[in-house]
Amino acid sequence: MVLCPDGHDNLAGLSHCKICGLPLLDLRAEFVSLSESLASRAEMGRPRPRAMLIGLGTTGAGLIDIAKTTCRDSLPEHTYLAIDANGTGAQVRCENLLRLTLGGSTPNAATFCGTGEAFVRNDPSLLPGLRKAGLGRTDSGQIVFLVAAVGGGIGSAASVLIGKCRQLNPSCCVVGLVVIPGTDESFHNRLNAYYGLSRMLETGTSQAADLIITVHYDQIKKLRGVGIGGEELKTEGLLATLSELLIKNLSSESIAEVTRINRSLGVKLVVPCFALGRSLEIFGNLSNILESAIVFPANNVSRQAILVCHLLLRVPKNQAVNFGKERVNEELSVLLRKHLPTLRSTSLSITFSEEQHDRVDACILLGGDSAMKSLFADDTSLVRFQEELTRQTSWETYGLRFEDIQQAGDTLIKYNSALDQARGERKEEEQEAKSVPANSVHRVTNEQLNQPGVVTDIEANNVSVSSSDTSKSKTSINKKLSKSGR
Amino acid sequence: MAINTGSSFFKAKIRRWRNIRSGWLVIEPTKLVVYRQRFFRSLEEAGNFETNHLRAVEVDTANSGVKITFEVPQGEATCEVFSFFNRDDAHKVNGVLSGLLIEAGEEKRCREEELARAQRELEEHQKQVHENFVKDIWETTEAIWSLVKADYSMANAVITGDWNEAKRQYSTIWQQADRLKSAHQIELITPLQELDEKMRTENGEEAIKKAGLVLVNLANQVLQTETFWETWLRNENMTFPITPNWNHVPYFLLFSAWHFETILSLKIEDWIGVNNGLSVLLSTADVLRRCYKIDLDGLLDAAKSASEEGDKELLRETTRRLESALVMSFKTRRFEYTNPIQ
Repeated sequence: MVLCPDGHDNLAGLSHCKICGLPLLDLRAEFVSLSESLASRAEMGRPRPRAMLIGLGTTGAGLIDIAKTTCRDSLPEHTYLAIDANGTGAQVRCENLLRLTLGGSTPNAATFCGTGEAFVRNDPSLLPGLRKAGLGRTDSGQIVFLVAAVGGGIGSAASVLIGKCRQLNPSCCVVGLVVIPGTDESFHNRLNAYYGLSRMLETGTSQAADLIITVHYDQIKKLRGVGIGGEELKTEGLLATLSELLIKNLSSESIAEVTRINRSLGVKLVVPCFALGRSLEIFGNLSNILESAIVFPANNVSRQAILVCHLLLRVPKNQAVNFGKERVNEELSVLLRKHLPTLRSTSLSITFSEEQHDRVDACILLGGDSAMKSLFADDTSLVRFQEELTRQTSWETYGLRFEDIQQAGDTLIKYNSALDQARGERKEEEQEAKSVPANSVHRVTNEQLNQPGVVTDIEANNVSVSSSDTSKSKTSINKKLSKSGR
Repeated sequence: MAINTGSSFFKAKIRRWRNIRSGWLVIEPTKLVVYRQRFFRSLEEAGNFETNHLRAVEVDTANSGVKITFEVPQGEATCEVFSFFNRDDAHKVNGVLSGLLIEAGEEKRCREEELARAQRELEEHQKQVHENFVKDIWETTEAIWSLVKADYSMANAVITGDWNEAKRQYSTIWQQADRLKSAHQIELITPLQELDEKMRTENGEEAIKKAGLVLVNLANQVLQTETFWETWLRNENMTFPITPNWNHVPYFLLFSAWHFETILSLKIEDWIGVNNGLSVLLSTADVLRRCYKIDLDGLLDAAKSASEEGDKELLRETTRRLESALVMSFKTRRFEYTNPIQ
């Protein structure tokens, strides 16, 4: 029997009292439900994490899962959030991971970028989920590392997720690690990537990322690394370890420096060249490790187009003596002079781990090449894509309008044009330099080489250094910076 | 037998009453006694009538008599006709009996007034008892409302990382818990002590969980089997309905909690939570309207449509107005009871 608010006995199962018509509620169950609802928000009461590693889509969520599972050091200031649609069949490795299933319990096939965007945009659980992960207050020191394969429908909606993150913390810095689909993947995967990446590049919107690190799936499959236990790292393992290296090395100060340098040259997309778990016993010195990294970029990139370079280095503490900032800077300069003739600016971030081995993780982020280069492995792929694009008569299937495609193209062209402009200015500077006596140019270069750089972050185990590049004068950097409004 | 005139105040010689040709009518304060007089025999009582059954008296001048009407309980009134030897006696008897009638009427009026006064006093007492009871219910309801509000405000402050505000709200929780304890022995010390530790160490995650436990503990105590309502009914021997009563308090607690849960959901933009909350509020609103005389239907409908449209600002404004309406009800403290005596 169930009592109504006025104490009338009623048979269980009735919704309202048969005598007075008042609602019949299971009060105890209601209060338990309330308490559970409040407890489900408990995660929002955790201290604000310095960084959040968010995986979007099946690939992104899977990589976060691996990163969390194989996380070598405990990272109390970091949270991991895996966001995926229901029914994608993704493998669950780590139980202790925040997970967010978009679209509730309904299996969803958001295969295309337009539908994926709408799916992510309209999901009511996304904002509470992001709050649970630690977003919610304006904090310029917070960094969101977003990992997504933009060839997927959900992954291509990374820009929507960035917008939601900025809604909760307008000052957060967003770094995207995006996986570009392989050449053998379908047209719609490449369209998703084309559209998704363009949205992340749209300047002046809250949906744009501050830094986008692109890796090409075909390239990443060829790369290998070494894990903490000496095991071989392949595709997913490599990306998960790279993610870990990024969140450990990119503090809010160092990332501010990286984005400041990038912004001054119009760069947003960077390609990583990484050497993970390289033993000093085998490689001998840092130069060899950096050489091994730079020769295998994780995406299609033309060295002649590179304008910026950022080196992230993670070294065991017992090797710290060999990795002083000046020494590293010197070895980096030698490497860059050799491989990147058009480079304009560099930065360096070194962190030290507590591990007892001699393995060094290095990641060189190269920026300045076009967005198309990042998206397409070669010209043939680009032409084939463009032909497919022109053949399309309707965009409805993809959840898009013709204007959306046009806008995506315009954004990518605009991005490339800005880089071309930066390179054009460089040529002018070079011509100007030719008219100046050779010894004076040499003197300036040497001065810059000897500059210790700008120390942005020095802690017990974290040194972050940035320095101007050898190829241009201090005056020209200032000129460029003033042009970019800084 | 001699007529005892000590207690009588009037007697008249009867010439005729029924079949008696000679006798005396003696009028005493409480009765009329008729004595028969026979030759060479002493007086004997032939009948008597209680003066409180006296209804009317009239003079029969022609027969030097009076006609007296008596009430008969559960029966028709009877008339007795007396004629007297002395013409003046008829007038005197009439005068005395009329005086008695007036006196009896006065007494009856006094008696009725006394009864009415006693009735009024009883009603006043019961009304006062009810008012005190309802006042108690409203004060308890208000304390519960304030505690729940502080509980959720504290959780929200923890979520936003504002520990100063969280601690201020935490202090309010203690104040309201003390109020409930002194008024109704609602004891929340255990969950509050657990919460205390988390607040001291600024452990936000655990503090929010403990805030939920405070709520459940409060609900369990309010829902306890032997309610204050039942105790009160028994102590005061009250059997008729009064609203709001203690049975309704858990529903107000539920409404309050879901109200603040909905506001919290809105603040963190959890629209699923907002819609769940509004559904419960809509279903509980009936109880508040009928038992607490608070009509929130219009505001809740507006909130529901604002939620459906995803209009955060409108929803925030509507919940603010809803809260004002509830706070206003604590001032007016409406109640209703049915008096079975009326």
